[in-house]
Amino acid sequence: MGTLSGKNIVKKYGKDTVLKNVNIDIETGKIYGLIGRNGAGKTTLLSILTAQNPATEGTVTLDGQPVWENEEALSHICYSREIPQVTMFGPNTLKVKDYLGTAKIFYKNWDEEYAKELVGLFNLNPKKKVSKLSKGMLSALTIIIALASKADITILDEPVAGLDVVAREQFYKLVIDEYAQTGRTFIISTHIIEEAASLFEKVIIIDDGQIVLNENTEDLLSRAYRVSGEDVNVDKATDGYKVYHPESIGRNKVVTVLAEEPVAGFGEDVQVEPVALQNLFYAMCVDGRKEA
Amino acid sequence: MIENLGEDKSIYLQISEMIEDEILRDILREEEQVPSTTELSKFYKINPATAAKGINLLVDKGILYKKRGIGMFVCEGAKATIQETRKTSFYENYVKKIISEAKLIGIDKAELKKMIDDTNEL
Amino acid sequence: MNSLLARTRKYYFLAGLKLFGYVAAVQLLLVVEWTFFGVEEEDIVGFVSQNVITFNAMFMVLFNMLFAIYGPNWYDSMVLSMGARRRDVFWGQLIKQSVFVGLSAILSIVLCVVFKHENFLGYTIVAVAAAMILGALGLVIGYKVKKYGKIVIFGLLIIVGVQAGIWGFVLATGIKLPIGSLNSAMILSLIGAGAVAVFVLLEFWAYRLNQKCMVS
Repeated sequence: MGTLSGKNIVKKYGKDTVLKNVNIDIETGKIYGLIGRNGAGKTTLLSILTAQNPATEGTVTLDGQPVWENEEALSHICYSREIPQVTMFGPNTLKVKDYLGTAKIFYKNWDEEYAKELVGLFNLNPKKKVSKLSKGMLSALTIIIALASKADITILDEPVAGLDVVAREQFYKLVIDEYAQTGRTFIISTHIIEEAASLFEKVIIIDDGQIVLNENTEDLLSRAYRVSGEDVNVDKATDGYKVYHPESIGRNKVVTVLAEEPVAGFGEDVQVEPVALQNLFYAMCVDGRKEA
Repeated sequence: MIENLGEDKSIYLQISEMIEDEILRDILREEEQVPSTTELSKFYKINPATAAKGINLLVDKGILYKKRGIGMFVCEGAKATIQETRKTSFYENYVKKIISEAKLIGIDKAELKKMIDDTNEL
Repeated sequence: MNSLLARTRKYYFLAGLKLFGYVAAVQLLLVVEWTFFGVEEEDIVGFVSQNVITFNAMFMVLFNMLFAIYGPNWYDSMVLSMGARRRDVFWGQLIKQSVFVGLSAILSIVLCVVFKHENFLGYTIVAVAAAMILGALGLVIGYKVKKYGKIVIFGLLIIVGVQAGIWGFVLATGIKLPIGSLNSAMILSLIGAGAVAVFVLLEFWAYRLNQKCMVS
């Protein structure tokens, strides 16, 4: 299967433009990480890419075919996100097994055995009402639906939000296992970046309704540097490079540099260290943004 | 095996170096099987493609070879190959750092030489 | 055939069956209650069966509308989030409602015939029409609630509940409608045509809302 592409996607809610001319290509067969601040547009983008919500402008195609209301395209996609515990009418009294049963009907590749195994693994009670589930159980349910769907393109929106560290590690292991076995495409959006960074073959950063970057994680990090030293030296050494989030304390200055290509050296007068994905993201998004 | 991956260099390089270290330490012997990319990716919680990249790097360097249908094995003479390669980059990777630190804190050549002479490790 | 369309239809067909089963189970309990109330009656069988038929029709209208209102924000939302197409969801709702109303109607008709309450057949048919129309209206309300909140419901439910009660009462007890000199056949066909028109319009509106709605 080819590429899931979004072209010139604009999404407005009334006067508010949440997505501003987004162009994105998702290659199948990879694990993607999608990171962005709250309100950056992650969920909106994902819901549009999966044809669950209409874009104001722009098109989404899978293998060149439009995804909107397209049976063939939709059969390959699973977009799993947090199940509401409260509806307009009161608590969500549907049970875990109702959701699993519905998923079984709708996902043509649904693996019932695998789902049962995961239910046991996460210790989920199928008879429990969704409104009565703890945050951890709720996350577990969305994860189970996503994994057992066996969909070619599986998207998880903040799957580890409610999970403790043990459950999170369990989740990462499950994804790796599934990916190693089936090679299916995963897109995982998360706020807990550093733990998952080594899982992502490619990372997409979205900020303020625009895609900031979409590239191979290791390539990206090989061009990111934390340069520190005396302020005049740092400025000299980083002249001409894209510099983020400069911080100073006394005469000491630290900046984060993202170069176009890996840099051999910044000279003798400054200290250079590599940057972890989370810190790079932080440096790129922390300044000059409206609050979510 | 190393407990945790650091953030200081690419993960696939860390994987390949770790395997090289084990070969040097005789934890992995020549003609022995190396963990599969799936096992490595699950153990370190990294993307299987990354683990594969690390393994493939070693295949390109002539350190590992593939037995079809079975897995990856350590080449004969791998230990020697690794030692040779590392010797070439030893100055760049280690000695330069010692010299620069020594310079920073004011250790002169004589003191440094004495430290090396006094050790009975080598 | 394992297409998305077929899977969606299957889901809604089963949903209609489930709803019918649920309401039928409630009815079973009520039979016991009616029997209790009818212990002193001369014709206890007639009494119980008549009331069951009456209330079955009311439940048919009430539950169809209620679950139609629940649809957009809850059940349909769940189904959309699992990849169903909007148009399939729209037709699915129609399938579900038809299955539920159809089975309830069959139950009423069977009871009418078996227990010799033929005079209630007309009442049942009117109830079917009301159920389908209010089901369509329920969908529209559901979408509006999704957008504006619960307040939409309160006012409407009161109006609807009262009206359903009045009309049901009027028709069941055979009170003459003050229509004047118009031919009764003409009146019926006018009402019939009007009902169909209202139904189609409401379904069309629901379809439009369905196409535009957001999955939260």
